[in-house]
Amino acid sequence: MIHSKPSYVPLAWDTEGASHLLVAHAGGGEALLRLLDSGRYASITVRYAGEPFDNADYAARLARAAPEAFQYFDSVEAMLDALRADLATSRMGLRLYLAGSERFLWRATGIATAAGLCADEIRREQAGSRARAVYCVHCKNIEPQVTTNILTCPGCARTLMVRDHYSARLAAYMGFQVDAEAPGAIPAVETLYA
Amino acid sequence: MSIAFKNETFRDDFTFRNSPAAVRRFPFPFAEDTYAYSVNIEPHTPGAAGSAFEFAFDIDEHYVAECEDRRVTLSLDPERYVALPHMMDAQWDFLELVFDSLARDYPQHFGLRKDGARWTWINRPLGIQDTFTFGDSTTLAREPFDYAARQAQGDFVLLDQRDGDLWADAGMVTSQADWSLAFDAGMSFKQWHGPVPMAHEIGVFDRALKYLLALRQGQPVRRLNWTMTVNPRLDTSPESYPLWGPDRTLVTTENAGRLVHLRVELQALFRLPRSNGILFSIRCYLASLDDIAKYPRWSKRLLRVLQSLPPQLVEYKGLVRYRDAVMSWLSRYEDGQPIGRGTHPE
Amino acid sequence: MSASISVRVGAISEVVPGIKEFSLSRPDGAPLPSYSGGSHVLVTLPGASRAHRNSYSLMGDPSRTDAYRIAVRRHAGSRGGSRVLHEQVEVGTPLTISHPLNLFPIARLGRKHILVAGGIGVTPIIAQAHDLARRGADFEVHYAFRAPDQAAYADVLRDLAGTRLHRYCTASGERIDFRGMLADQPIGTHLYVCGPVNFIDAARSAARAHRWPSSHIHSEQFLSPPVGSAFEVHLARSGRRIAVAPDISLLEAIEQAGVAAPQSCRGGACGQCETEVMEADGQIAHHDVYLSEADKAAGRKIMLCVSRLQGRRLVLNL
Repeated sequence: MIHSKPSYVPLAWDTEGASHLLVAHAGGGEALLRLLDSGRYASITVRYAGEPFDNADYAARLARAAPEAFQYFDSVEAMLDALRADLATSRMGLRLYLAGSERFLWRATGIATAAGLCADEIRREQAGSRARAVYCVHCKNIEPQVTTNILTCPGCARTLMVRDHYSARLAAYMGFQVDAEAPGAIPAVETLYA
Repeated sequence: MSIAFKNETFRDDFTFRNSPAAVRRFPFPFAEDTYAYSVNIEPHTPGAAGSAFEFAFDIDEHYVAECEDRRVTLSLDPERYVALPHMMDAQWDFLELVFDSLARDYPQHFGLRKDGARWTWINRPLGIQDTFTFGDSTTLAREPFDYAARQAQGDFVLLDQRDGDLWADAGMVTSQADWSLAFDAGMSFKQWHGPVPMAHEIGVFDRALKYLLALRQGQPVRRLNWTMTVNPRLDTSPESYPLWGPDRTLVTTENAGRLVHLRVELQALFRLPRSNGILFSIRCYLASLDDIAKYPRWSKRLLRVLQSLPPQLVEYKGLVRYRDAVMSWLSRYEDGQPIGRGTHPE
Repeated sequence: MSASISVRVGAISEVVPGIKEFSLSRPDGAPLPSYSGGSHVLVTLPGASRAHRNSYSLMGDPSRTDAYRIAVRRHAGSRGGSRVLHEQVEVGTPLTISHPLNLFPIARLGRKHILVAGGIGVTPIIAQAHDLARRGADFEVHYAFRAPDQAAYADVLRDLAGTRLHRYCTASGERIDFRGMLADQPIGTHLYVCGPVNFIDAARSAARAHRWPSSHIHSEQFLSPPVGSAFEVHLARSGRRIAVAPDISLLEAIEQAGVAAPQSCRGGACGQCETEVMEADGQIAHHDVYLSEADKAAGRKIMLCVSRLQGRRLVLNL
């Protein structure tokens, strides 16, 4: 494990915050339910997108857990767009809590930091799918959900190895051609990131 | 004294060659028979006349050819240059520092006239003369970091200092040893050093970061880094790895002298005035084993360093396929006698 | 490039009673280094003892390289640096200064900036305001001064901030309402406060009350090594025993004894002089703003440049 691979801890309330915005998708719903279960504060808003596929009916459970404060989105994209728009008018004292796939966590973080939030105002928990987004360093294509250590790049057809080196800005791991030196010599494909 | 600039290539036909003077001033990095990580930083004060350490930014006989190689690399992949929006002050800091230094240290080749904020920059080797208003990007054909870095030798990264850390938020990187600016741009100090083995565990980066956060104007520092490359190729980026990776399989005991190059990076760090950022300059020097062999002391020492290199470093520096061939080639210089500390050619 | 710059005092003015402003420039008229707003320089008075080295914020326009401007309030205090500057330094006096160092920088990614100055704390705020105005940033300035005759710097700030300048004359009963000032600010707002310690504490408390995280709260306190009582320091690694006089800092005593110690800002803020305490026969008096409360309580670390021992003997890992 290398130092450029992020690590995560379960979400916990920042008791110093004045208002709390909880944003999650898919399996991240579990983390939000646990957080809401652990305590309540004034001024909580919950946002949730069910995709890829909300297996455990988190939407309904979150709606019950925070009825006045719950908003559902059909897609992650729509939810991120709404996040961007809302942060433009948010006030100091806000704390942001994110839960879901790693790619979601860092795409949302990018939106938050562009709006002026600093690292101590944002908390992240990886929950649900452990699939990796992979940036092909050769053609710059990003393949968003990779579960294996080796993949064929949809952009340039090279066989890529997925490294642990992570870019928060791109919200992706680096992939590079694994058989450049010995064409066809490809390690065994393993499902490592499901 | 004027430099005779060479016409040579760092790709395809690889016509790059060092003159004897270039070999003699090569910044050989090994003072001892074994190599170990350390925060081996020293003040970047003027070194011996004629050496690679004499001036803040070293210009040598390869200057014109390297600028052309950079131009080609950028035309194939513009993302070898990145500058995040908040780095404009740092960009101007860079232009000022590099142009002031080159005009002061190589007056026969460069000139800088200042009439208030109207500056005229003359670059004779590249045939450039431009007048612009310092601080006003609209008066330059490219933004200031892009403009100036295309006229300087080596790679450059501009670091933003904030939140108790350093962030690689701008860069011109076309002669790197296997790291991607397009990928690493925006990373913090420990993040972009993430892939380096062993060093994190012994606290090298914690100490280096604390030291650099307190780096002061007027007191730049430098260190040397090293690896090896097959063929004198400047662009050994992850992006172009499919082009240069296969060359590692070409090395034999017979051709190692010509093909394999010791690649040394003279890295310097300067505190920047207006942005309060740091310039990280990475100046690449290449010497073939044939070049190194002109000084048996260097050959012996390089052999001993390679023999004692830990496996993680052999792997990380990409030497696995051809280290045996290189050691075999160098072994003719081994005489079993002790060599004293020091890097001088002999 | 060298570590220090020789300058000459070009002009002295007392724009505000009790505060002398010094203009410093190179004897040959060559430009001084540019700097970022919030920077300070360490000023050494030639011929004086080591005790007279103090940091002063650069208060001018950072893009002006013909001269640096510092403002020094006359302190009835202890070590005499400000007294020397007020009484002995004249136009033409040579001084040595360090290159600028910035421990109070503007947060480059901030969306809005609130600058707050109390009294002589206005000096770095003025330079920051120059930078922010030049960049077209969203900022406002709050300047509290004691009496109407101290308002001169308010004019400089008015030129830079226009209607975004708020002045408070404390003699007329005007006080900064920190809570009101910081209420309802958009995310991405940063607070910068410089002035007396109580002033800074009040600003920080108000920011905390509005639940601002510490990453958005910036302050600079002018710390100089305080006077204390004499004690002895034992350097374990070099075996040296050094007497520390009441009006010399621990760092200065070590340096005067010819031992090199790590240091940079010499004002208790940057962390470079942090040293391990092996033994303390007495109580460590922490005067820095660098160590955490936990570290201060544990007593295993000390900042050489400003902290002292109340007691007999201190053993350091040096």
